[in-house]
Amino acid sequence: MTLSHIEHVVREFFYGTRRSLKSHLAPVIIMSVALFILGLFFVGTANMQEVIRLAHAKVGLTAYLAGGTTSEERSRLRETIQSMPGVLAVDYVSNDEALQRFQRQLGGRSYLLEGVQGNPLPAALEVEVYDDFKTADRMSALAAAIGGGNGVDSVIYGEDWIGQLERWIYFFVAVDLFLGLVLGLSTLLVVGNTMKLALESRKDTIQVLRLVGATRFQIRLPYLFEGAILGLLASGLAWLCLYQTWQFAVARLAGVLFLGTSGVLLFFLLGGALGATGSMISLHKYLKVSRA
Amino acid sequence: MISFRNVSKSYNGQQAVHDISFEIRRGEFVFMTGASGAGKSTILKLLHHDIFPTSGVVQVSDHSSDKVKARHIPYIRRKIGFVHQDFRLIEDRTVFENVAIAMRVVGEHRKKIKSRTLEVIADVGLYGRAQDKVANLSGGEMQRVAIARALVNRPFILLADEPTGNLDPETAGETYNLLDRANLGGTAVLVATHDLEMVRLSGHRVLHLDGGTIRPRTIPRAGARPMRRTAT
Repeated sequence: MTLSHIEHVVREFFYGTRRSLKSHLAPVIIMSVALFILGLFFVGTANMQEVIRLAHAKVGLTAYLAGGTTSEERSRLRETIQSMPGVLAVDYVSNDEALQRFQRQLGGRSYLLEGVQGNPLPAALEVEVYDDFKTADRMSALAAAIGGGNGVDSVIYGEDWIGQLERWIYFFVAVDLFLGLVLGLSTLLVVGNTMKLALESRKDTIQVLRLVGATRFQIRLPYLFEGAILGLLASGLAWLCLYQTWQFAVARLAGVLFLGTSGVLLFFLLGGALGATGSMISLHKYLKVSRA
Repeated sequence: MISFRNVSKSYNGQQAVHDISFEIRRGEFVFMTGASGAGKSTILKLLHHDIFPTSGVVQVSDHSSDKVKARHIPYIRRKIGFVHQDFRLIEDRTVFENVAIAMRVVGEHRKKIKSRTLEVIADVGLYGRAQDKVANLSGGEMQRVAIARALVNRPFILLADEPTGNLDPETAGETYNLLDRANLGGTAVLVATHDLEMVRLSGHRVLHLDGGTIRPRTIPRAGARPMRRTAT
């Protein structure tokens, strides 16, 4: 590509943008609305994933020790568990510490323990596992292995809700993919059709460019830029609306997450890509070569 | 340089041209006559690679229609000038921009684009109008711009589809003069026209189309009544 080719592309871009300024208003607004809905969906998904992540982080395993377990047995057991696959760390919680925690949890209602003689709580080993190990199957296998060790009275790991959490995660991933796909495709269709109307006024230019021997690439490039810039503008508008909506929500519900830096970048990238793709879809009918 | 070998073209089963064969040599001026729907525009579109034959082969320079790849078509078009009855100009741009666009597409240097574009604009008699918007020109002037654009890259052939169809007789005569001058410069010219008077006066070779095939045709002498087609 020569300097003159680049100049041609830039010229065509400016001519085209100047000419279709009014007709571009509709695609920008429609893209903004579509991107705003997509953005709401992204933010909703991000918040849902955060809830799931927090719940997932709490997944662990507690092995209660049998009464009378010696410190030597405890150390051996701890080493054995530490060497098991998937185990990140093992912490010993004495029965005194367990009682203190319980009292802290009861807070103002610690008087409930006043009638209790001595310390009824057992000592325990708290087992932290790697994230990819926090599945119902693996946790169950790990619990069985730990439970079979000398000095272990019982093992708990929240077997009921881990399975439920897994099902929720699968459900959200499926809903995410489905809605993302449907929203993405419908946005693309709307953008493609609206851009088609905007390009209708410029078909004479495309016709002339074909007549004088412009390659498909030379014809497409200015429109590709134009579509991408319109998409970026629409992303900006949608982002502003999204930000205002988030501020409104966060004032009423603390802790609501917004898109992070990479999310915002992805959002703008998506807008640019949607605009460019929409532009390409609408150009297609003018560039068809038929051998029939 | 250009040859049609047993070319047929159908649109949805409807035959537009049938088993056509002819050649155009370098620097030749050829008229193509025939009633509306006889297949004149189809032949021009086949030459410009806007459409492809249903059977047979169209040869343009080194490119054969049965072997050419879609990505090569723009490069073939750059060697062909094409003038249409409806001018095909970008009306909100200047005369200069309308002509220069053909050189920009080719990737010529800016200085060369400027000098050559102004030279061709002057050649077609529009010197001083280079910065005028095309929308402000008369029909004859628009056709001159279209001819200038078609010639700016020094094509080896100039195709013209009813170039004087929208023009008054005087302006039509000026347009033919421009085509003649291009031909004297070495460019082959193929003109599809209804203007039998101009064909008669020119003395150039004539391809007469009738119902999608080439038939011999006698052009009436000046003063004689226009003849009906001579069947063979």
